[in-house]
Formats: sequence, C-alpha cells, structure tokens
Amino acid sequence: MKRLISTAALLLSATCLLAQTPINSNDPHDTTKPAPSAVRPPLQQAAPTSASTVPAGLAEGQWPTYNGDLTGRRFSPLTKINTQSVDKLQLAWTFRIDTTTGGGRRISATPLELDGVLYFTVPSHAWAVDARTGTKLWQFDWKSAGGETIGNRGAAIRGNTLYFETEDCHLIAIDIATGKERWHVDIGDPAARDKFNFGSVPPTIVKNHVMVGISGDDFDQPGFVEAHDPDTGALQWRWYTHPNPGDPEAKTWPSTEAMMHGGGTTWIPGTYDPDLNLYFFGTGNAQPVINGEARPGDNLYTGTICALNPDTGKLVWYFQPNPHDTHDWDAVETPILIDGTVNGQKRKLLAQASRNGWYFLLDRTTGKAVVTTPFASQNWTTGVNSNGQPIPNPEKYAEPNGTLVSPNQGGAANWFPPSYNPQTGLFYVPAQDAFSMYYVYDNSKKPEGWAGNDRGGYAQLALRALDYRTGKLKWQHEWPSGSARSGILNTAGGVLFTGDPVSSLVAFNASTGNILWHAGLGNPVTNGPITYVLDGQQYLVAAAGDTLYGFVLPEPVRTAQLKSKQASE
Amino acid sequence: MKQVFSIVAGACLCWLATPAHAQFPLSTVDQAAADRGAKLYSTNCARCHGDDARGTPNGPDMTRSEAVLHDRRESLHGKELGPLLYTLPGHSYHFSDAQLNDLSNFLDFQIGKVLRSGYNDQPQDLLSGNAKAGEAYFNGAGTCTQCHSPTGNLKGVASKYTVAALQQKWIFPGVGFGVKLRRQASVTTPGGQTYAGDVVRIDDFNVTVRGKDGVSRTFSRTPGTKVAVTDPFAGHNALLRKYTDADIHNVTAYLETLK
Repeated sequence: MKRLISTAALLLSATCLLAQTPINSNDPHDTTKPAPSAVRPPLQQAAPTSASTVPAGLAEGQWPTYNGDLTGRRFSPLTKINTQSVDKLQLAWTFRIDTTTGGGRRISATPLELDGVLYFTVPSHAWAVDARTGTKLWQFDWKSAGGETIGNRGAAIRGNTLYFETEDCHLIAIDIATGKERWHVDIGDPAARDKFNFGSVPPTIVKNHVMVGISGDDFDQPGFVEAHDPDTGALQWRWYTHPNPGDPEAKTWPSTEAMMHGGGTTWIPGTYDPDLNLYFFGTGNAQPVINGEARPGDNLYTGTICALNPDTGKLVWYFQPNPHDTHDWDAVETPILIDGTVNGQKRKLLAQASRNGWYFLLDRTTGKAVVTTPFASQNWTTGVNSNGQPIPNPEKYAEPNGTLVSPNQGGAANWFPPSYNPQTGLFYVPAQDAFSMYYVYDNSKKPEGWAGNDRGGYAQLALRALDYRTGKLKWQHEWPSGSARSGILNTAGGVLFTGDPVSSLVAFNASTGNILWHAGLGNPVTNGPITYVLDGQQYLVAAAGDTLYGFVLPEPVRTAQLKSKQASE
Repeated sequence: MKQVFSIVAGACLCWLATPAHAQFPLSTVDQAAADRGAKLYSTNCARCHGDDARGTPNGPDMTRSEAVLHDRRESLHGKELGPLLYTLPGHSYHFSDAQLNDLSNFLDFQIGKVLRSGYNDQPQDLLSGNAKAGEAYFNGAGTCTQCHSPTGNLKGVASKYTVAALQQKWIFPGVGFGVKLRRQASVTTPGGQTYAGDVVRIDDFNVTVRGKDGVSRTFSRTPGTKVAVTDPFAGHNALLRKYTDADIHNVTAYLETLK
C-alpha cells in the first residue's frame, strides 16, 4: 500500500517534478536532506568511529582501497620491485573464478589487500583469497534479481566489514572474516533497479559514510551519490546530479522534466581531501544519449566534476569538462589529487584525463580550471571558453546521415584507472586516438533513451605520460595492435605496470617509457594492477579475464637459503 | 510465441553493434496483448499522455513513470496500475485484469522502443550529398584514384552493400567482418634472413606472419630483430583527419552511383 501511495503521487505530477522521488518529502526540491521516513532507524546506535579519515595501509605496503588510497593516484611507496629488479618477478600463483555472471567471467575489480588477504568482486559475487598463495578463503554469492552485468569494479573495507554493490542495486555488507552477510539495503528510492540502473561501483568510505554511486544510462534517469551508515546501512543522504529547480544551474536545461531525466550517473569512485573535507567525483553523460536537440544548454551537472561535503551531501563546487554531451562521453574518469607547484606557487590540484579527449587541471579548493588541453585526437570543439571548458561544435553533433567524430564513443579515456607518480610529476593515462560515425536514430520531438549511436571506427591505443602541470606529452608508447585497455599502477621503485591491448602485463620505466618486463597472460589485463608486501616480499597482482595472477619478487636471502639447502641435500 | 519480442535478444544484437552493450533483465512483450493494449490506450489515455506514451502538456510521460517501470521490472501485468487508474484525479477507469495486462504489455512495448536495442537503428538520409562533388573529391583532393577506380576495383560496389554499410565500409575499410587485406610485416632476423607476409598477430614482444606459402611463423622481437609493418588502409586512416562531413556525404552519394 505504501508503494501504491507513493506511485500515485508520482502519477499525479504533471510536471514530473516528483517523478524522481525526492527523499525529503517536506521539501521536494531538496534532494540532500532525507525525510525522517526515508532513513531507516539504526538497528543499533553506531559507535563513535575510530577509523581515521584516510585509510591506513598503503604506506605500510597494503592496498586498502580501490585506488590504494583516496588521492586516486595508484602510487605505491614500495621499492623492492624497481627498475633494476623488475625482471626477476616470478609467477607465485593464479586464482581462477568459476562462477558465471551475466557479463562473463571477467574480473574488472581492483582487488583490495589487507593483512594478507585479497578481496575482489564480479557482479553479485565477492571473494577473499590468500594473498600469499592464491587460495580461496571464502566466496559470497548474491542471488541477483537481475541487472546489467558488464562489470563490478570492486569493494571497500572499513574495520572488519566489506561493502560492495550488486547489479540489482543492493549495497551488501559482509564480515571479512567469514564472508557472511551482515546486512543489505537498496540503493536508490525506489530501488534504482526499476529504472534500468545497476550497481558496479566500489563504495568510497570517508569517516562514517559509505558512499555509493550508480551505473547505467539507458532510461533517462538522474544519477546520484548516496551515503550509508557503515554499521546499519541506513541512508544518510542522497545527492542527485542535477540542480534543484530554481537554482541558476537549472537554466542549463530547457525544462524541469528534461533536467530531472537528464542522466549523469556516477560510475566511478571518487577521491577525497581530508583538509578540505571534500569528496570529488565525476558524473556521466547527459541523456537522452546522442541526440541533444531536446535538451539545449550545458545540462548541468552531467559530464561534471563535483565536490561534495561528505558529511552533508551538499555540493561545494563543480566544473563541467563536457558541456551538453552528444557523444556518450562522461566525465567520471578518476579525478586524481595532486599537491603540486604551478608557476612557483604551491597548489592543491585535481587532474582528470576526460573521455572527451581533454586534460583538465583544476584548483581543488575552488574548482577553477588551471589547465585545459587535449591529450588525444579530438575534433568536436570550436575552442575553450573563459572558464576553461571546451566549447562543443554543433557541426559535430550526431546526425541521421552521420557525422565523423573524434574520439569515438569508447572515448580518448574511459573507466580504466589512470595514475599519477609524484616522483616523475607525470600523469599516466590509457589513451586512444579514435574516430567513428555518429548517427541519430530517434529524431522525434521527444527523443528518449539511446536516441542514436556510433558505428565503426578507427582507434590507435597508446600509454601516455603527461606533465601534470601543463598536460603536455612527456612520452608515449603506441601499442602495435589491439583494442583492450586496462588500469595503471605506479610504484616508488620507478616502475609503471599496465596491460597491453593484446595479452601481456607490462612494466615500464616510469621516467623514460622504456619497457622493462612483461608476462603473457593469455588475455588482456582487465583491471588495474596492485602491489603489496608480505614477509618482506613484494607482490604484483593483475587480472586477465577470469584469472588473477600473483607475481612476487622472491626475497633474495630466502632464495639463497633454499639454494644452499638444495645443494646440501 | 513467435511474436514475442525479447529485450534480451535485442541486447545480444547490441553486443555486436555497440561497445557499451546492454544486458537488461528479462522482459518479454506479448505482442497480441500489446496490440490490444494499444487500442485501449489510444481510446482512453493517449489524449493526455500522448500517442507514443511520452507525455503531453496535459499528462506526464508514461514511459518514464516509476509506477510503469516498476510494473515492468517486477512483471506485475498491471496489478498495481489498476488501482491508480480509478483513484488518481481525473481517472475513473475500472479495467479488468485482462485489460490491465494488455495495457501493461503496450507500455512495456513502448519502453522497449526507447531502449538502445529497441529503436529503429538505421541511418537515414544517406544520399543527401552531391554525387558530382563526391566524384570531384574522389578524383581530386581525396586522392582515391591512387588505389581505386570506378571501373576497376570499385565497379558495382553500390550493388554489394546497403548505403549504410557502404558509407561505413569506405570510411573504415579495415574494420568489421570480411576485411580481406591485412597489415603486412617484413621480419629480418639477427642472422639476416627476411620473412614477409600477412600480420597474424603482433605486440611489442612477438610477431606472427603468414607467408605466401600459407605457413605462419612467429618471431620474438629480440634485439637485432627488425620488424617493418605497413597498413594497407593507412591512406584511409590519414584521411580521417582531413574529411569534412560534406566530403563524406558527397562521396557516399557518388559511390552509390556505382551500381
């Protein structure tokens, strides 16, 4: 009956204002404050958190979050594997998953490593695996009610609880010791699964907020980020990726209905600056996809980098790298935090290599652009405006008879995690120079959903190293063939790890771009590699298809001891 | 059942057609029910909610209605829509369960049209270009005559493909099914022997070439091993940075004359 009442209210609305179910029924325009009824009463009073603001562990040789830490850099301080020793890496173990998911048995999650245990996910399944041996400790299987299963990027851990999203839009909490469920709650209200959304995003945990994003862009539904209580799952706040009616930014849409159905999903975990207490993340493409005729304007906050206060869910600043998207280019690529120097001044910066082919360096205190420059082939702009935003060229909007556009729908960058190395001052991105033809298929007065698509295409893939201060190319490695991309890991040993587009895990000298080592895995790397140290031995782990590969740099003394022992036997 | 439209089947086609393939929860439409529902909708609902159910100034978009989406997701066949249709202001429709099922199927069908597997995904107006201008580009700035001739290797090309396929094929000849020309590699070993042929596989570490004898040989790209690769479509790829969209549509119009 409660459902009937709420749906009746929805249908009542001719303006569609209520069609997105604002969570504060006292003020339907306010999407940040939950109404009392929208928050589940805690099962128990949450104990004061002892978790530090920034997760410990990366400095100690662990890999505790999706990006290693909350800066998004994927830079490990470990040095045992370095430019001199990397060619001595040996395969330590493999772990193959045998659970079928709708998206195939492809591991796209970045594993977490804590206290000798690896934790990773595929849609609706999670594993704990011994990080020394690759032996399964437990497997958690969620009985999914269905959803899109193109991938699950991983989990988050706080204390002794692991959190991950399922494709049917649940947030699950699991005891990391046993693999048993503690609780589960819906993501979205009503649950986002009704609206063709799905869960794939590793949660980001800041203080006592488990923040989750949402995936999917098939049905013109607004994206959001919401925070849950780590102990009970109770909703703390939800922030929709559109302005509230009446905000100045609402004028970037032709109507409230268009704004409330404009997309902007939140596919990728964000980054966090504890000094500013800001959570940074990007939003997805505007909707309807491809055909933007019925939504003239910049379409905020789609294709936008947002800074939220994680305690309140309030927007503090925004910068839109991709105004008025008509090519399925989201701006969700990891916004990496860099503490650097520009023109002699120390700056708190944020860098993103965006799917639309442009590199953005922002002041992360204010959101103002410092640098805007292409890092890959692009032909869709007429220039850059005074705010540092690319200006879309209307001649490169999709048309019923086709428009040649660069990059293609896959983008100059995509979800594959980039990396920043403070030792080299370089920002590394799995890039491609690509072209395709964009067609509008739904040319009606009110296009909806995917109102067009791109076809065919040419792409040249390259690993690119950019000077973070300018976005200029320092070096690149053009791959000889292939179409697969994967994430990047940097280490203080001066080595960069990533997958090639064919079937190898490859180590580069991060300063020069020279290849130092590779291992053929039979499939392209499908996630972002990680590294950790156990018993003085540094490990490297990457996934290719259905298999995790663990490499180790054997500890020299032990190797010598073994050889000595063998010689005496 | 042959008229049942499967979203899943559509999604499978989409897998081939788009990089961002979609896999939606199973939802099937009983087309006969949807057709009956269309009549019911047309008579009772379309005036306010629009012929295509996408709304009018007098009534909201039904394909975006959360109640409708919930009905679809949970396969409720109109059970929860029924009470709304006589309790909402301006609504006094008491439909039978069968009628609600028909209406539910019609709305589900309309939703399917919106999804990326549901629309008419064919390019249109592909012959809007000027064939004469296309011919001039072909013979001039496009430098196409370096490799192609309308009476030689392009004779009758328009008869082989639909216009949509033809346009994609000439812009991106190295992509898709049926590509006959492969990249060529010439491998010179440290010992000075040279092997040439089609590139079967190449990365930074190994290269496999298939010679005219049909035998594939793989070489590790060790120091001293020289590999020279040529791409038969390099000219096409270079033109991607030069074409205007008018050039493209003109050339398509010209090539379509080569029946």
